[in-house]
Amino acid sequence: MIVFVLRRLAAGVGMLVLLIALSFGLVSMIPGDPAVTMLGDAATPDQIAHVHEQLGLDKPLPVRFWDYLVQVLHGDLGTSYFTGAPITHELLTRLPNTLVILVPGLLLAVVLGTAMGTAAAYLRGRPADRGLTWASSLILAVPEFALGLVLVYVFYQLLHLAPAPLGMVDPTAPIPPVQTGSVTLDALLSGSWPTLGSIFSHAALPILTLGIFFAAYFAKTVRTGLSQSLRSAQVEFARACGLSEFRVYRYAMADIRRSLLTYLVILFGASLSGAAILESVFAWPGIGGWSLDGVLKGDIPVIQGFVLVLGTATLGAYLILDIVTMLMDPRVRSKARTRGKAVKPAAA
Amino acid sequence: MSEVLSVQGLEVEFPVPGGAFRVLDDVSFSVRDNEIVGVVGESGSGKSTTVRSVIQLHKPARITGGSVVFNGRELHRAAPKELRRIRGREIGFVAQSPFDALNPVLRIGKQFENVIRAHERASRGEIRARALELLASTGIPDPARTLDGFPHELSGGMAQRTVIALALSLGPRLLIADEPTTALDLTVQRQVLDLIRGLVREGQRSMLLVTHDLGVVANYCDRVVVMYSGRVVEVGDVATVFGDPRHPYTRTLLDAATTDIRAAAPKSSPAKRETAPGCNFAHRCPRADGVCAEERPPLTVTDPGHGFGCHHPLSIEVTTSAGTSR
Amino acid sequence: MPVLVAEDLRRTFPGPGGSKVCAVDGVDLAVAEGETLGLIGESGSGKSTLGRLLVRLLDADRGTVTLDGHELTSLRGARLRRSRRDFQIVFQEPFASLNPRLKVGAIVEEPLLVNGKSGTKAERRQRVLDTLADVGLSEEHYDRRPADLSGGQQQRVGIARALVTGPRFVVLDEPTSSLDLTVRAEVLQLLARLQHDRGLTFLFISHDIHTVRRLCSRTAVMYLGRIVEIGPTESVLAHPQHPYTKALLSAALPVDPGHRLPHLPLAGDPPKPTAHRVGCALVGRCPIATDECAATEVPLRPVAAAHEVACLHAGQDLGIEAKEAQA
Repeated sequence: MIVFVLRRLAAGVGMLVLLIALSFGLVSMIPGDPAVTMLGDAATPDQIAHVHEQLGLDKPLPVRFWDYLVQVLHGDLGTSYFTGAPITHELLTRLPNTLVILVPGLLLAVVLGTAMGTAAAYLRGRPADRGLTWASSLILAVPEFALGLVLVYVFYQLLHLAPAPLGMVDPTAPIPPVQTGSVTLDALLSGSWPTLGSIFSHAALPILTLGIFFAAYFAKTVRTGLSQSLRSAQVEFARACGLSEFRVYRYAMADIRRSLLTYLVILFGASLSGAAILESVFAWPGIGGWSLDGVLKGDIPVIQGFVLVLGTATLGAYLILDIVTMLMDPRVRSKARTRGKAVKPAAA
Repeated sequence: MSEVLSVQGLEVEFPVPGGAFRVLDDVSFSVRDNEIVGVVGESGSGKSTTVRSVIQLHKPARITGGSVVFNGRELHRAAPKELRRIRGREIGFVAQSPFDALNPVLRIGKQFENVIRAHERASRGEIRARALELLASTGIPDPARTLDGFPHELSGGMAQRTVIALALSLGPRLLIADEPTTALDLTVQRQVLDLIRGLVREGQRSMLLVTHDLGVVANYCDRVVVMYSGRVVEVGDVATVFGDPRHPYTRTLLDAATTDIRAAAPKSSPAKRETAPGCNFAHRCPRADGVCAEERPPLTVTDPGHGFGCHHPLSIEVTTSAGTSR
Repeated sequence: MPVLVAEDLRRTFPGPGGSKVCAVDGVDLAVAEGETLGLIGESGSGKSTLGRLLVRLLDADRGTVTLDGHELTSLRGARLRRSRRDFQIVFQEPFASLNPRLKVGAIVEEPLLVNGKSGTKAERRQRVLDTLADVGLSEEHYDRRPADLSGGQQQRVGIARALVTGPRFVVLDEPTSSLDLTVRAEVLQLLARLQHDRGLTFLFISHDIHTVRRLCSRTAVMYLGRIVEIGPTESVLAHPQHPYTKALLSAALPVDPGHRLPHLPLAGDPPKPTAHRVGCALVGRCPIATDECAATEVPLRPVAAAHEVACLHAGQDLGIEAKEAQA
């Protein structure tokens, strides 16, 4: 089993290097000369050559890749062409902000989606099932940001329950004494309750938007999987043994939890790369809006940084998924065991 | 001998878009104490639905008529809670493929725990002791190791023995087995059949055994119910029904299993389900005439409990004839 | 004069954990002109793999197959495709083996197109119609799709597809085991007639002894990749010599309720066939196995006319009656 985890980790590291290579390759793939992007069309050849030298663009490709690799592994992702801000610092301050809405949003989606999908699967073919299917199709048909705008209209403008969709903290909230750069971390570390409360009330609507939007996807997956596993021989046998319907439901869910988890990881990746639009709607200081800005301006270090973070997060999520599913499923576990055994004689 | 299970005039319908499809039509039979009753028929005959509807495992099909009486209780109108208590505790169930039936992610021991605790309070130790005993009684060589392991670590024969042990863990009076050996290797099938028969006989239980294999019926059953297209066409002692079949379909089935292929086999366009008012077998039957197409033959019962639903049965002398269960 | 000869066929598959599963392990086989050779065994015995090796749906790791003296194992590309008109296969699951989007006519016509020398469109159509008529289907089925047909009719289409090119040798891989009893009898009858009329040579793969008894002139028994007994059906099924054959026969229940066969229980379930096996594969399950059985290679040896058995203790009494008493 440890062998399996190690092999999986090694594969992850390999993928990471590929990812860095990809992000490095972006510089040459993105059209236009970075120096021209930075200096504007009026730049003289001398100025351009100077910037090239500054950025190391005059060196041969393998050397540049090696330099980049070393740099990245030291945690240095360069600075923005436009603001001069170090990318690593920007990421560290913005990523927690994004996760503050993303993780609870996905959790909400899982809870809501499982409830809806379960109800639909049990009431399959009845009016309630058709109603749920219709409702989730409607949600899927509406773009995420439109759903966000509707929620803002209802909860801010009509009901005055939510604060204005402008950033993540009230300007009046006390500034936490600890300074890491990330307001969320600061508030957490210093136990600044009013600030945390303000963050939470601002985060409520984006979380709800994500939750409802992805719940619709999740509900469809749960419904499809569950209505199949509820008809399986395993569930029939469990019922025939007189197990309670709750236990039967758990058997049925165990049957599909692997595919549900996989789907959750896919949703995580999708929501991370799609965070830009939602963050724009709520003026949320996360990595989404920041990276969108970078893409529009051709700010290559920003794009590279975003690609690396996105990729690493997704790779990490898949790694965790693989390990968790292995721990959950004895069949995969024992296969991993035999594979571990088979390695030795081959090496000997 | 008293009756453990009595099914009378059972009708089951399956919902289809814009209506219902009748899967079972006027099915009647009974199972007595310490008796093994075989249910045979080809695919689509309704044999699986018949035994499943006894404990209402046949969803989404619904019982629309007739009765299922088990030990004096009317199961066809039992509340879900009462049914749940009867399933597993008083009526056990064994299905075709053990690997599909067992929960793949739970240890076998845990599965015993779930089943036993669904019906009674018991400590872990008690459950473990009982499970060990049950597994040993089904001929599993190393019960403790099996109990601590997972289903995929077992061979097909051992997995089906485990399913049988689970089905018997609360000492049910009736065991329903739906093709319990079809998914197993040939040389293992008889081991398992012998085992089931032994457990049923020793435990003073009764069994309803669904099979498509006439050899299994001939060697393991006391009585047989022959089904065709959702109806019972013949019922009686195995020796009587197989030795002196009265319904042309039973004859066809026996011929198909035994005679040399160079001899004449029946003309058939294979069973598409009929909703004809008359006999469902009429369009394949060499003896059919106008009556058969229009009037459904009632189940005629002769003295030793041999019944058949045919207007033109194969032998002529019918001792007693009485329409039952219409 | 054998039509088909296989020598020393072997085929392994990758198994779990980097191991190797030897599905067919050094099989020699000769099928005579116009005969039906039955091949029986349990699931996992390698009988289907052997059938696929003989018609080049799988490639052998080792060994040769010759049809009418022509080597098949070395054929490649267009020559292999052209030669396929001489050997065909009928599969177990009729519906799964027919393309659901094509009409019956197109399905049956396909081998004619693939194998070249197909004649004009009208000639092909006529040939398809003739073949359909031969398997008991009519012109009205020509434009239907497989889903509109019953299981028995689908299998007739499968048979027509195999026969349309006029093959010499046909592998029938459990063609009736997914069919209902009454339909099965009809299809078996059809196969017997076709063979008689066309002088075909069949390899009939089955796990059902009753069926083999009724259709096959010769029978081979396979266990874990090897043929353990082969001979005239009468001789093999009436006087089995190998303990495995005896067990297999005793597992098949007769329909006559008065006639109860004694039961020879083999211990446990069949193991997975692994590569590099020494000795008899039945060691461990066999009631009469000795140390010698596990240590030496056991070749097929004649015990009666044309009847060969791979067992050191062939024909020895197994004490079946004693075993039956305790069951």
